[in-house]
Amino acid sequence: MKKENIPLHPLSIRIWHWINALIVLVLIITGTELRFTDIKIFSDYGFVVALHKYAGYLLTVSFLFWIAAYQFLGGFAGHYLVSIKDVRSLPAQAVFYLYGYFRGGPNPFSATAETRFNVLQKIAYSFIMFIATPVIILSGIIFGNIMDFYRIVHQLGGLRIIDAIHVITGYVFIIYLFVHLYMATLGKNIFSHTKSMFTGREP
Amino acid sequence: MMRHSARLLILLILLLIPLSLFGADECFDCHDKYRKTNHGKLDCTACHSDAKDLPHPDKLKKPDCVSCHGDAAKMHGTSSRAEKKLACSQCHAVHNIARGAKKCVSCHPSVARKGLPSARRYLPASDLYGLTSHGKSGVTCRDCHASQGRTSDRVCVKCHENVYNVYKGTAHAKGSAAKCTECHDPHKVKTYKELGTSERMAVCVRCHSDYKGKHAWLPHTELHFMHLECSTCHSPRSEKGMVFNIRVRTDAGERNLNYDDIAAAFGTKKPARDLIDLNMDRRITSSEIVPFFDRLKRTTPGTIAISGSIVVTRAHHDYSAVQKRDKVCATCHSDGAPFYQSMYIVLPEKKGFSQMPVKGTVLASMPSSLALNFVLLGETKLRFSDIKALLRSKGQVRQEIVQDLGFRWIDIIGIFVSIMVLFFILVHIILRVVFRR
Repeated sequence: MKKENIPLHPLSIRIWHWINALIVLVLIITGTELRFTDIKIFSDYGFVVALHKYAGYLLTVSFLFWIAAYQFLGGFAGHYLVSIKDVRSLPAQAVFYLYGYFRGGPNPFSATAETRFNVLQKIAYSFIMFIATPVIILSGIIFGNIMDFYRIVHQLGGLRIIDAIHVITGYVFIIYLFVHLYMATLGKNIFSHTKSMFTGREP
Repeated sequence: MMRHSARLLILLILLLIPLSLFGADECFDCHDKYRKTNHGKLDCTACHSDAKDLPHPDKLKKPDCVSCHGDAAKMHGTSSRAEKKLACSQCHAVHNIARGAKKCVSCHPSVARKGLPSARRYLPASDLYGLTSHGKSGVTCRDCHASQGRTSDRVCVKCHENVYNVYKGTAHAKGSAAKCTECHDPHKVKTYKELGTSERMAVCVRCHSDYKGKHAWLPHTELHFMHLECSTCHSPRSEKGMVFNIRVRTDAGERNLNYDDIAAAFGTKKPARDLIDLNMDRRITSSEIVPFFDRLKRTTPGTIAISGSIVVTRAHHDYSAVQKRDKVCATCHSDGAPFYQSMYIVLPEKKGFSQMPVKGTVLASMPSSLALNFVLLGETKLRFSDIKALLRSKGQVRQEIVQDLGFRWIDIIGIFVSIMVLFFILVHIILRVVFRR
């Protein structure tokens, strides 16, 4: 079987990826306007609040779908959990992006159907999906229903602390997005990774 | 005709003879304590006309006050007291000048007594009347209740003309014909300024009971009503402020900090404002907040916290303009909201309270870390001028700016890291171009 025939991204994950991307984009835009009220992307602040809230609920559904999809598809651990072998490959992978890439050296990692991501991707994606997303979803749900979680809010130190956690995680998402979008251009050609997220196969 | 008049005169003289047989001095032989009466030079017999001779009968007829005080009787006839068939002497001390008129509170120890017209609306305690703003200003019962009839706005206008001139043209005054006293209880111990948000809301809610239903459109309705009063939105021309109250939470519940807590913590009777504002510059910094609250926390049972609310600090009585402003979230959820220019911490004093200017960010951020359960969406905005001021400052000023920035440090660090990442990406792109990758 030729390498380009390896199905890297199953259809359900591809659909999830692009819907999730849209939701995250809406959340970043509305979240920025909520935080910095001078930035008028939408003129009605009430609409921005509502859009952010319901996009947040969609992100929750999307996150649950992602977990369910991998339960159905399998291979979750191979794609996302960082193994000892992965840790050992970390220096070589970092050196490749910082140095070897410019020299035209080979990528020490080649994606397979069982292990789709290199160690740096695994660390980034695991952090985003296992830590950042649940944190921002939970803090967001609390914000959407403060009176229902009032006791929890008190126990966690107050609304300002929840707000701080939510906003810090928001910045993590923005920074991740910058890196993610740029790393997506580091394939065989600029759009090869992006294209594979539509077709499911790396050219 | 002349003969007829002469006869009448003789008859009158004959009638007066018994009265003139004894004068007031003779009355005082027995009734000395009435030597000085409220009725000036009138003889006793002018009222006690049936005391024609001495000794007079044991029981004399009740004097007919109306024969002289016809006007007062007319006024009295329209009052609630007339319904109770009260005699003049039950309120007016006619014999003892030292006592003057009988005190209102002798019959009205609580103005909320059932049966009085105000009982339904007001819950005052007259024995505490001296503590009310009216009482403190020396306003007596009769200054307002002069007519003995039910009070009207005209009574209030005597002193509060400017406020009434604003109010009389508004929907409240015209439409539902709400009198001043239907919102403002003149007998209450607390002034409007001293009322908390929930107490202020309670005033409006007596008529506007469906306020929650009417505000179903408002996200976090209940939360909003925890930190706002109705006038915050419904009186756009009122001056507003962000007010921080010091709260004590115990297992038994939550209460405002009182002066006894402060006296216990500091072992002195100094005003609270002098105990917190150590350098007396009329503003509080975190270097003053931290030791003050550390000491309070050590001696006060329970947890000390600060709750914030946005309240009217100077009321404007036109509540009609609300339709033009409501439902616009950015009125408050913006760092341009007017109450950010007026932030105070409320300090309990021996009598009443004092307010000290303070920045909310300083109360919330480290090292104070007090007002952590109060945050407004859209309040925090980092400006480039903040960064410039921080970079240009030195020493104590820099430390104050660092603390004043509070939770905006999240934005400073977040934006800085984002820019660094973008810079790194830019360098990577340049290298890719250079190496044709």
